[in-house]
Amino acid sequence: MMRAPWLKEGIAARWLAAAALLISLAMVVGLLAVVSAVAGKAFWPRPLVLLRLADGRVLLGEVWTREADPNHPGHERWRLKTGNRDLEGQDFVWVPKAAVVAREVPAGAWLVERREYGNFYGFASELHTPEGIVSATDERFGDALAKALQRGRELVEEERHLLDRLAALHAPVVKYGARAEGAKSERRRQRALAALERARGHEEENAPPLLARLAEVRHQAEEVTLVMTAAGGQEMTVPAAGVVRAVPVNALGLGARVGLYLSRWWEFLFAEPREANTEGGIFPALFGTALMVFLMTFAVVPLGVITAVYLNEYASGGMFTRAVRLALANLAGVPSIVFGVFGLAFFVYGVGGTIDRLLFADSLPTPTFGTGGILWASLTLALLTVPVVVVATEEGLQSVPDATRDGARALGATRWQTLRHVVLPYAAPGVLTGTILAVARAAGEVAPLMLTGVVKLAPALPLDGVPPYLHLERKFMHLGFHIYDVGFQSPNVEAAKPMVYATTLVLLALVVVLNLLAIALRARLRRRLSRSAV
Amino acid sequence: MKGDTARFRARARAIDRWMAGLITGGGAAVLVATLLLVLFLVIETVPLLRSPRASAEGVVPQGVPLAASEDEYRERVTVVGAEGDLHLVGRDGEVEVIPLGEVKPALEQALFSADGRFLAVIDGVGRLHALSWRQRVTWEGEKRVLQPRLRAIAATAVGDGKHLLAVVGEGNTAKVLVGSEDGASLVHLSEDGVSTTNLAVAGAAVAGALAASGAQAWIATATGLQWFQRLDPGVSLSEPTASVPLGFRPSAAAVLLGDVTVVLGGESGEVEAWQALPAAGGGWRLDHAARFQGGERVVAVAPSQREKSFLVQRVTTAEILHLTSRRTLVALPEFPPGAVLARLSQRLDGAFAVTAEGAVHRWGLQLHHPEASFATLFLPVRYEGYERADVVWQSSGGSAGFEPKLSLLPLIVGTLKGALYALLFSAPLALAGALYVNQFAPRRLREVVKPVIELMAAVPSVVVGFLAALFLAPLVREHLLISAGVLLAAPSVAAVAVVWSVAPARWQRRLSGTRELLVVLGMLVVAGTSLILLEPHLHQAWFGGDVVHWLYDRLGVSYDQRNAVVVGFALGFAVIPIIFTIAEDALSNVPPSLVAASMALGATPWEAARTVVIPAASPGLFAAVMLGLGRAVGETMIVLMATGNTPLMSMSPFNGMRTMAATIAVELPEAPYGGTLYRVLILTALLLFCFTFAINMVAAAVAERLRKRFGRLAA
Repeated sequence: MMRAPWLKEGIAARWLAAAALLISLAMVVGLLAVVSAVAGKAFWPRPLVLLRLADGRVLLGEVWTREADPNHPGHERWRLKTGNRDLEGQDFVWVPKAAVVAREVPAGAWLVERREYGNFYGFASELHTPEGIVSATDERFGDALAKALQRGRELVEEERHLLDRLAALHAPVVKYGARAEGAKSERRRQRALAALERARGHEEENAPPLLARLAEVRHQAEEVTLVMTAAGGQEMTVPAAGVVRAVPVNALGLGARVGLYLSRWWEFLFAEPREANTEGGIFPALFGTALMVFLMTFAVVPLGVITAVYLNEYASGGMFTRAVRLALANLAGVPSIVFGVFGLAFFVYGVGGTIDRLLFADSLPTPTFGTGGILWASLTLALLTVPVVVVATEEGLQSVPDATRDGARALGATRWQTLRHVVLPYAAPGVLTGTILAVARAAGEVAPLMLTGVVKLAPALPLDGVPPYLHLERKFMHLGFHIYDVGFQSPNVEAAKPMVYATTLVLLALVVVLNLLAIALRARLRRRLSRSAV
Repeated sequence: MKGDTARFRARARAIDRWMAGLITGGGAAVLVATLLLVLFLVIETVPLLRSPRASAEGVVPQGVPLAASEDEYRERVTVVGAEGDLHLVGRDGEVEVIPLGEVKPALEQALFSADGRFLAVIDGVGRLHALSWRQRVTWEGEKRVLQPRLRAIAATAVGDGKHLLAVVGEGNTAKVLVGSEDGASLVHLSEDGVSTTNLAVAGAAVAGALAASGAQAWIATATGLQWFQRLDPGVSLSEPTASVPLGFRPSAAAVLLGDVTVVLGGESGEVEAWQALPAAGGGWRLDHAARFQGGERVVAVAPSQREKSFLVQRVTTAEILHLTSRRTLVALPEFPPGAVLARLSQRLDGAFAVTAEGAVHRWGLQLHHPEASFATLFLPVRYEGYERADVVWQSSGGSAGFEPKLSLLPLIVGTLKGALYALLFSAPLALAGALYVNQFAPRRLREVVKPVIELMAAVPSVVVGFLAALFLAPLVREHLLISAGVLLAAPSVAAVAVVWSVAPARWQRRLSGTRELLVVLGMLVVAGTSLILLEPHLHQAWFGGDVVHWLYDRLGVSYDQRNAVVVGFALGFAVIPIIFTIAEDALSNVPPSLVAASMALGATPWEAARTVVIPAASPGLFAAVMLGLGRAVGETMIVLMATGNTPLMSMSPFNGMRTMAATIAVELPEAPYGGTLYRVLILTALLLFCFTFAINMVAAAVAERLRKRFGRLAA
């Protein structure tokens, strides 16, 4: 029987299959493109637009989006970021395009990024310093402003330094106080009281000069202020110490714009968050993610490598080996949230609760290890990523030709000596691939962390200058959770969107780069494998 | 010299043995970790199944009792004696006596409020007294000391033939429900004065109950139940808001925590729960909510101050029932026949009873998790305020009297719905894509595609979820027509292909490999562009400018921005790489000799793929889809962000859902350790684990079969 040609060649089926593949690939490319595009322009300075409306209002701000007005079909409306939250109570205004009478881009408009209350948009009037008043029309204004802002930054830095030192002085007082309160025996109580006395004495001796300096710094900070005028005419005094940067956006040339763009990225990557994470930087989240995966590798690499070595070099193929393989397959297939639940029930409440009862009984019922923390999160993720390391390491071990092993054994090496000196060095790229893939997987995983110790805002990094330097029990911030939290739990999602996209780009870049590295490594390994097979 | 070598050898062998042990132990560690994971989930779930327990704790003798209450710490039972004193009976039998003050013995009646903080007394001369009764906790070092404080609020004459039905209080005011042969009245007593609201009851009030605020009352007469609302001190006469005839003769009544459900006990042992619901034609009606197992005559019903359980005291027995799960939790062992009083402890960790001779019996209670049973977790349950039995997930509410609704069904349905939509989208794409790459694509393409698919698998799900919710969902809502138009992509590509297949074979041969792929890409681009260009016109012409409004107006379909379509797409993104990779592996494992044989017999590449490769690899393709399902079911962040998290049972593609994984992620950090919610959520995790475990087993078995089938051929 002769079939129709289109059935025989299956062109339709082939084309559909090709379309399916193309759509799948387009989804990846599309995702990367959307994130890069939106995040890429998130920090690019937008022009400040001055709008005069039909009802007499004058608005200054950045045009954020343009869309069809749902209330007036066929008309367009703009979402204008007007900032000045302390004056207006809101950051954004909807403006129907039809209501705009005049639109201009005034060269004298300034954008002031503040540490509190978000951006201020307006016109600079004058700069007040202890040396005198400089008007914005004065040609010395630019230099004076730069100097004032520099001074402001120094004062903020010094204030923070002083506060840190005061906190460090007070910390032992709190610690020994709590210890004396919760002491189980009289002897311990006496010891804690003595230590408390010493800590108090130390604080009383050293705190007063710091406090005096603090008062002075704060007074100086109040002396340098920038006086601005909002578009509506209200005057606003901004202390220089509260300014992150002040720029006449519209008057900037291309070079200055690029500089501003780069400095914003720099701030984003290396500064602390402000305003409930919707402004400032993501440094603590970046640091928390890095430290967490770093700690994780200490658990997952030994466990994964040993398991792979067992399966590939030692296993006899009996019931036990099959059980281990089955366990691995299941670990790979279990939803990540289940690992989180296990981490919470076993590590946090089980192990952590026991540690608290044994070692930190004095501070109970406040938990030390019995609550989520970076240690528990990294151990949970270690368990989750074991299969990744095992698979990659096994591939590495398989790439070692049996002849090499036999040669070593023939020379009289024991099994362990062969492994240690011949097989493992040969398989190292496989181990490295597995480690990188595990790190990439862990860096992007969020759900288990929500149960085992991630927080939206950690008061302190898990690694700092206070002994014992590495605080394994502390909660931490994480890039992935940061995306979820700022994008969904934030009070001001719209204003935070650029930040979220930028965070997404950072996380995505991290994961993609790690994966490309692993892919390249593995490609090398496979080439060797195919050579050795010949 | 020789000795050195021998020692060296021995040492090397020792190290070798030692390392072999260590490495085997390491392999075992993975197994142990997995077992530990299962074990811990089970350990944390098991207490849900533990049956409630009650144990008798001792008897303390005392004088003639009228009323009794107990402090929060179960240290002392306070018994009101007919002679007009409070007897504080400790566990060791030690008794402290506090006189009631201006109360004239011998007392006729006494009654404590449900929380034990207010006491109403009718004394020997027919006066009604309201008193406030507190036991303040102070600490003497480690030792807890309860300091009793009794304060008279007000008193008024009520006359003869009255009996106390219920007492509630707040601060300096108390409200007492008093019954008589011809009706009932609510007496408001405060330091400012006394007022009475008469309730228009039809007949003698047999039993009654008051809401905690005192503004609602339930009165049971010999024939019916009546409900009174808005009982303010200024109202002198109140008509019932709703009434209903009863099928039995009531003997006791109590309102459960939350003031929604009233429980009636009957002369012939009936126990029924009733609640007020809005009536169809406005107003209210009393609705029969539940019936419990019968028994002897019910003497009294005592509600818990913690949740929806209550004590039913019968003539010679007493049992604790739970409203939501509709079951008898436990019967009090060795209950003294003829006990006159029985109540639950305030923390629901005990119960006590007082006999007519004044002996105080105590029980310790371990009710564990009464609100979680198979029925409440997996079957429809009629909750308070609900017209009919329903499956609802609502784990926490604003008030103390909130009834937790812990049905796992909406979560399971939501999970399966999300996974289903994800598979509908991803399985065809991934399977077809894998087939193309494996069978038709040029070899070079495969080397590009594999890393890209690997990258796709590596994209963190939080990124996918974020984009789906904040980028895709608004876009889909705005351009619903384009989204629907995507469905036309497959038929249109196929139609063009059919047309093309009549073209001369010479042309067709030139269009193969990369060129073929480029042509398909071109078609997709043209189709997409034309959709985008056409959309605004279609919008105006057919849908009145807004498809979402049109859907609702014409078809009655409600549209959530974060819906199953968006979730299916986003989850599909996460699932495609899994299905693709495993399917591609399965296709690769089909021995090339089979394909070669088929083509030698004259089959085209497509025929070889259709008749040889796909059937041979079909178990592997099935396993790929199964593993994709496993991933979709367990995915957390995408559904958490893109579903709206509403626990609906709707299967509509335009509505959201709430999945098991997302619920765990959101609610477990807030759930108190060891509580019912904590354990139910861990049970949810255990279910997820079992599901994925089963899928993994099936996939592993399939892989094993494939290996067996082709192992010989490939060799």
